[in-house]
Amino acid sequence: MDLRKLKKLIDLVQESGISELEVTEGEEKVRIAKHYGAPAQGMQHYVPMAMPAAPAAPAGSSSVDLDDEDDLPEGHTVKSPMVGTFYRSPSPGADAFVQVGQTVKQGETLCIIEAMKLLNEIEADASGVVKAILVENGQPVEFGEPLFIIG
Amino acid sequence: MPGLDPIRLKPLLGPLAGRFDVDVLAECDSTNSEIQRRAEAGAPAGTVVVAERQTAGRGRRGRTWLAEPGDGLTFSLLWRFGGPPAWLSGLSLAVGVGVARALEDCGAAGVALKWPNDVLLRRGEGFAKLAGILVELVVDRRGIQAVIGIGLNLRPPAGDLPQPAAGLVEALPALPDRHGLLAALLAAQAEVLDRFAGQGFAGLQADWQARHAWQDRPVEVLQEGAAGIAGRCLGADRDGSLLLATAGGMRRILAGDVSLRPA
Repeated sequence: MDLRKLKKLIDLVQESGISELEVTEGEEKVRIAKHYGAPAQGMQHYVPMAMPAAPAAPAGSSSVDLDDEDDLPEGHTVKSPMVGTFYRSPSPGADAFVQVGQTVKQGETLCIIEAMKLLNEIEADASGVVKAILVENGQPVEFGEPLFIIG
Repeated sequence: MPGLDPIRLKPLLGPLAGRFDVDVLAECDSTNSEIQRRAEAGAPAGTVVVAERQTAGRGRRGRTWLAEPGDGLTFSLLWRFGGPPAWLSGLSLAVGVGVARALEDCGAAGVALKWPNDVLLRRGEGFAKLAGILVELVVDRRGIQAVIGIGLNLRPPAGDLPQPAAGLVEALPALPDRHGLLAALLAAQAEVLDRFAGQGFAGLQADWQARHAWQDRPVEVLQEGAAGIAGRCLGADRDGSLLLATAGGMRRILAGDVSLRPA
C-alpha cells in the first residue's frame, strides 16, 4: 500500500466521525483507530428532525464520497433504523458488542441505539467481518445513518 | 406475604385473560433478560414474567433496579409491533401513561410522570419516584419485539438512593392485593399499547401532558459527555421528545436526564 493512499486514509479517519477503519488490499491490512478523547467542545446531542447532524463530527457526511471504493472497505453498510444515541456496549464500562476485525453472524447484536429510554439492539443483517465502525460511542445518529460496514 | 399466583389473575383480567401468559418466578436475574431469552425461543406477545426478587435488575445504561420480595412489583411484558423502529418513538412514554392510569384505577392519587418515563408520586411540594420503566427493542424476522420492564415500589425502598423514592402504600388508604394491581397494570398496558400501535405517541400525548410533573418548571437536561442544557420544561412533543424553551430557542431533546433547577 503506497504512503499516499495511507495518508489519505489517515486524513479520512481524522476528518470524519469514523472511529476505526480496517482496509485489506491483497496481502496487506491496515487498521487505523481514532482515540476516544474528550468530546468535541460544544458538541450538541440535540438532533433536530429536519436538519443534518451537528457540524463538529458528522459521521456519514465526511469529505470522502462513501461510494469511492478505493477509500472505504467494501461491504454491506448497516444503517441506523432510528434517531438516537449510539452505544457500542450494553452498559458503560462493559465490553463493546463488536470490534473492527471481528467476525459476526447475521442476527448478532452490534450496538444499541437509544432514544427516550427506548433501547434498540441493532443486529447485523448480514454475516461477515466488521470492516469499519463509523460512529463513536455516545454520539447521536440520524435515521439511516451508516453505522457499520460488514464485508 | 403470599406469593403471586397466575391462576388468581385470570378472573381479574376478564376478557383480556387470553392476551397474557403470566409466569411468576421466585427469583430471576432480570425480568427483562428473562423475557428476552423467552422471546428468542419464540414466546408470543403478551408473555409476562414477574419476579419476586431480582438479582441483577437493570435500569438504563447499567444502572441497577433493586427488588426485594413484597416491597414491589417487578415484571416484564413482551409485545410485538409491525412497523420499523423509527415509528416507536415515544413508546416508553406511552408505557408510563399506562402505569399511571392503572394506579389511578386502583385509587391512587397524585401519580405524575417525568420525562421520559419515570412514574412519580407527589409528596409535599415535590415528587418521589414510584416506578421505573425500561423498554428494550429487538428487531427480528417477524418484526419488532419490545421488552417492557416495569418496577413498581409498593413500599418506599430503604437505604441510600440517588433520588427520593416513594411506595404505592403512600398513595392509598391500603395496599391493594397484588393480583388486582398486576391485572390493572397489564390491562392498562394492553390499552395504551393498542392505541400506540394505531396512532403512535400522538394518541397518548394529551394523557401524558395531563400528568406531567414538571410542566413549565425550570430544568436542566444532562447528557453523557455534554454540558447541561437549561431551560423551561414544556413537556412531550407529538413524537415523545422533550420540549425545552431555552435562551437560544426551542429545543427538542431525545436523550438525557432531566432534573429540576433550584428556583
